[in-house]
Amino acid sequence: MKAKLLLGFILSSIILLYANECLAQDTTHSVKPKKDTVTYLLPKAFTLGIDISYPIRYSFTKDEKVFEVVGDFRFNNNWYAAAEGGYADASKENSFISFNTKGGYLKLGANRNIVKFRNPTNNTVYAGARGVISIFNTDVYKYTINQKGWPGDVSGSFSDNSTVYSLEFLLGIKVELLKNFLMGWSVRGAFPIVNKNTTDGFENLYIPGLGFEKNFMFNFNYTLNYMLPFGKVKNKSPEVSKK
Amino acid sequence: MKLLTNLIFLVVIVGVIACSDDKICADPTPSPSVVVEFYKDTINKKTGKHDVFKYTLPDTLTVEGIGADTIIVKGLKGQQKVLLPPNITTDNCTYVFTIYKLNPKSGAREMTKDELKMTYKLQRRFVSQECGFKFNFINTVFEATENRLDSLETLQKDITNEGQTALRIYFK
Repeated sequence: MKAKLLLGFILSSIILLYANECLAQDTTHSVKPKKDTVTYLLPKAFTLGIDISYPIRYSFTKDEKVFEVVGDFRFNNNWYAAAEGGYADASKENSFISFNTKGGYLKLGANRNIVKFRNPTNNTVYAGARGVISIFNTDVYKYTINQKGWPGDVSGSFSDNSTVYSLEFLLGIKVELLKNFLMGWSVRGAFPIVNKNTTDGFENLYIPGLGFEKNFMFNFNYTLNYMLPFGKVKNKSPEVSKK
Repeated sequence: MKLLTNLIFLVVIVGVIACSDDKICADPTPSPSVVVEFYKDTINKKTGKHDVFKYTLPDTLTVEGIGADTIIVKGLKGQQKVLLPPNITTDNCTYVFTIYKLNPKSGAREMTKDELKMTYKLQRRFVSQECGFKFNFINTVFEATENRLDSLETLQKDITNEGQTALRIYFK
């Protein structure tokens, strides 16, 4: 199911990428190969948005409810301070263990624009990194242990609080669809740095902001954003102002 | 832009692989069994010293836990080792060793019974998301009757896996 969902995202990604190229056609021919040929300075801008991928994912999987707010602050053409914050409520059940995790997370870090556009644009393709703190409670509401050769089983429950610190790397794109309204998505890989086992070696099976425990904690988001620029585009050289 | 498209494709493909379906528990009863090996301790007539060796029981052996729903060993010859799962619903359990020995002179089968009791403290440990929890058996104490069994040697008091022998049974 997730694979199908991801396939949808791949297709939408291609559309976004080509849309980005098309949008840039009348103003931008291609990516500038040299750094010093960029002749404009984008104004500082604050962008706020919400993730819409989690509600879509929930409609398919029903195991993860997440509300995520995203924001960034553009300092210049290349650098952004970025943050994501949210609240997650995830559950999973099988014959041996059933649990529910609830908690919040905050991701703080930076994005760097990795594509130089010839002309000023709020579109961006970026790479970024985040430090992530996730604070949550896991309620193992039922576990069952069976033993070979003997009748009966042992069942129980417990609850644990955890704080996990992680590092996340991402690659993303943002496209201005309407003036100051941007759609964006990013793919992310996260690595818990401080992730202590709790009751009797119990591992955190779900980490808010990262997802269900896997060897490689892949995640993605898909956002709708509003950008509030502080000023206008400035030119670095007089030739550009003639255009 | 093509390079970027390829790069994003690569990341998404890695993601699809990472989002593979949930695994199924390979071992639904992950609590370890007690690994018991059979030994014999005899006096070497030539040297006069103890001669300890692994003993393959030539007689017919049946091993069954009292209250268990499965017979561990059912009338087998040539056993040298047996794995005994402790009962997780209590802190002790008893296994009965029934041995049939053929008397070479009379040709009759002679039966002996011994009981091996183990007492332990249950320790819950997490295994995995697929399998949940298991029990380890801590401070295990073994006691046995001595009809056919001669003595016991405890090698592991804490039973956490089946990789090492926990108990040696010396036969008469």
